Amino acid sequence: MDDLRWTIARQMPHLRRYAIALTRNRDEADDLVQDCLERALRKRHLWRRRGNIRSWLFRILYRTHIDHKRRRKPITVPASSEVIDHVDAQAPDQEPRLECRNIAEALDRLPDDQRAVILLVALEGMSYDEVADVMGIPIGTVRSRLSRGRESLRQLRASETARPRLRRVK
Amino acid sequence: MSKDTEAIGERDLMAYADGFLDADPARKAAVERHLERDAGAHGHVAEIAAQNEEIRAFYGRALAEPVPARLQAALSGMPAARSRATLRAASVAALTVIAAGGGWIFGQSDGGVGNWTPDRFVTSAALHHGEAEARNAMATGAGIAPMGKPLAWLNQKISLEIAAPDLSVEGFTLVDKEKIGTDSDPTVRLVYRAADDTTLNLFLRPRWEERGDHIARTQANGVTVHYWLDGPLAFALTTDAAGEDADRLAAAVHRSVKRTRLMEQPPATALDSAGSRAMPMTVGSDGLAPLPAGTVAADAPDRQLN
Repeated sequence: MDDLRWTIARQMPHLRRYAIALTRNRDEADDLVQDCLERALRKRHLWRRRGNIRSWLFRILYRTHIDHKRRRKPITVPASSEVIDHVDAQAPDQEPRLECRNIAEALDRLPDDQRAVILLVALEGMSYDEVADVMGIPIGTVRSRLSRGRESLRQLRASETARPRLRRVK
Repeated sequence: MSKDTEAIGERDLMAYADGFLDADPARKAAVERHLERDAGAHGHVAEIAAQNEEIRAFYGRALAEPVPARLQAALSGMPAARSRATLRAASVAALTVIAAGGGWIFGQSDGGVGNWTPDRFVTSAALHHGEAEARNAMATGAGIAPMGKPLAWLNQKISLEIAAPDLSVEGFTLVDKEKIGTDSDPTVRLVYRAADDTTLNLFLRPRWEERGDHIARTQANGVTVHYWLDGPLAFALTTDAAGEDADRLAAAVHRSVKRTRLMEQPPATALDSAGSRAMPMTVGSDGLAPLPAGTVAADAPDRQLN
């Protein structure tokens, strides 16, 4: 294994965790990381050795995520019962059916750009300028997205705390 | 160490909470002095730290998981398999092409409720779109359950707890709710309105079939209807927001209604065809139904991911 692949391998668990947090679906996350790895290897000549490989990989991952989301726009179907009722006739993952009154549920409600920034800082411990580099935005925008996202999280968490909790009835 | 006297601002508080002032002891000490004097700032920093900690704790296990073989293969430059999700997307595309071509090769749905068919639901949503807009103009919001709270007016009709999606992040407020249709063919309409008077109508009706929840977009009676199936409910959304804004709103609602949780058994109308397996549950006046033994409680330990 060459140096680049070895270095990428050290980042893979982090890339995968970030992908899982972005997509909240392991299949999609692994697809995302796989596309990211394939893209990174194809474009390895673009990586400057003096640069930060973590930033480079997360930048590829984030852009790939954006591409995936664009491709996953609602599909247009004819308004016939068979087509509509059979769209994506796939047994759903069970996890979303469960109560998920936690930080991930709250994160799900944030705009994507705020969620992506918060996750890079909180999960990966990235500095604001590294996040700016990954996302291709000014550092001031990173701070404002963090600030707005965290305020929304605070409000969501506060509302959940105030909400009556259901309990199991034996 | 010289004393840092520059005023402490939001940037300092965020950097402190995120642990980025460790390399600047003077500034860190200045922030800590500020926090001792300012309870609001102290609470703000504590909230950020708590959020970070929860996020790390929630996704902590993902870091320790073994990397799947297909990702190892991709790194090695070997051909790697794709996930079910990718294959699913391909099958949906193929399905659409087949249907659009005028043919249908699959059997009749066996998951409908009563004599309901999805196209009737979508068409109904489109027909009620204009009507909902007219009602919206008169709605005052009085008596509307707060967003995010369980809806209780379908008691004994639908054995579900369903929370009205909170779309405040999108700038929408719930202003009206109504049951439309007959008891044997019930649909709930939620009407949201934004500050700029953009209206969003969300239609829900029971179904009983475990299917996927991909958002579809279709046209009925000249109205664009976003439509998806989620567990025992079908959703249709109409809005006067256009194009990508409508798509984005549909995605936001789709995420929000993931809070739906199955409380007991399928709706009675669905049971008619499936045999009498259970009685519908009564939903309490506070909108909260008792959980039957064996169901997952809201305060059960969180499952991490799918």
